[in-house]
Amino acid sequence: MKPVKHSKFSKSPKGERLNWTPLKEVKPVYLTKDMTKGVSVVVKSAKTNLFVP
Amino acid sequence: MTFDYPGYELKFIQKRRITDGSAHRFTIYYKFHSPKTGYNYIVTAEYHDEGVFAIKFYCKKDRRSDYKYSKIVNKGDLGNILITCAKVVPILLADYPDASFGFIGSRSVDSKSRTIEDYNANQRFRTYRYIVQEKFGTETFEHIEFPTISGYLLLNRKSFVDSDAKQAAITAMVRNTYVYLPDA
Repeated sequence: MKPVKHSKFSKSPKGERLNWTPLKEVKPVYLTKDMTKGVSVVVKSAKTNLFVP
Repeated sequence: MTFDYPGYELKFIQKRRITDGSAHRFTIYYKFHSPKTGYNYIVTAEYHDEGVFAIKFYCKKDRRSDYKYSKIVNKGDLGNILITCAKVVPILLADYPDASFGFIGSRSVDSKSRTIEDYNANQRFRTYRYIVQEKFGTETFEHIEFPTISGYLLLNRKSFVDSDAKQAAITAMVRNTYVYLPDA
């Protein structure tokens, strides 16, 4: 078996996906008030080719 | 990374009313073709109470799949495809000037390993967020993100006096309508 190499940019072995779950183990995620708490985003201005100003 | 792609022409298909008694009132369907991937894509704008459109898209070949929003097509042309989807916003604003727009980045599914990505700030969300912040200013919309569920809201400034109250009304509507985050 070939040893798993680390890429130059990632701390995890090449090809390994972090935080991926087997499909059969996925459970429904209940939407709580905390999960739907929004964070206002400060968008940098002076963009060009905007679709909407 | 820049997203200066021209995108493709969106073609209106139909407007379908929803009569299930939920806050989801109607859906507008559009389609477009990518000559680079050779596939057709469907874009839907689902109008909800509180004047919010949920924007979704999928590759037409996957239309019967439970994971149509989560599949990785892996044929390229990402820039043109995403820019075409974003074009739906100014089109809808012409008819619904007070409308707000939201999306959730679907969790990617790898059919080979039968695994699914986590729902927190997933890869689709991170890409869509970048494009939205490149292509939509802050004059028309207040930008609000929901990283825990990979969601993003462009809140139309014409639609509220109190931003926090409007946000609370929209998120309550979403929780009551969907209850669970879609699996995929």
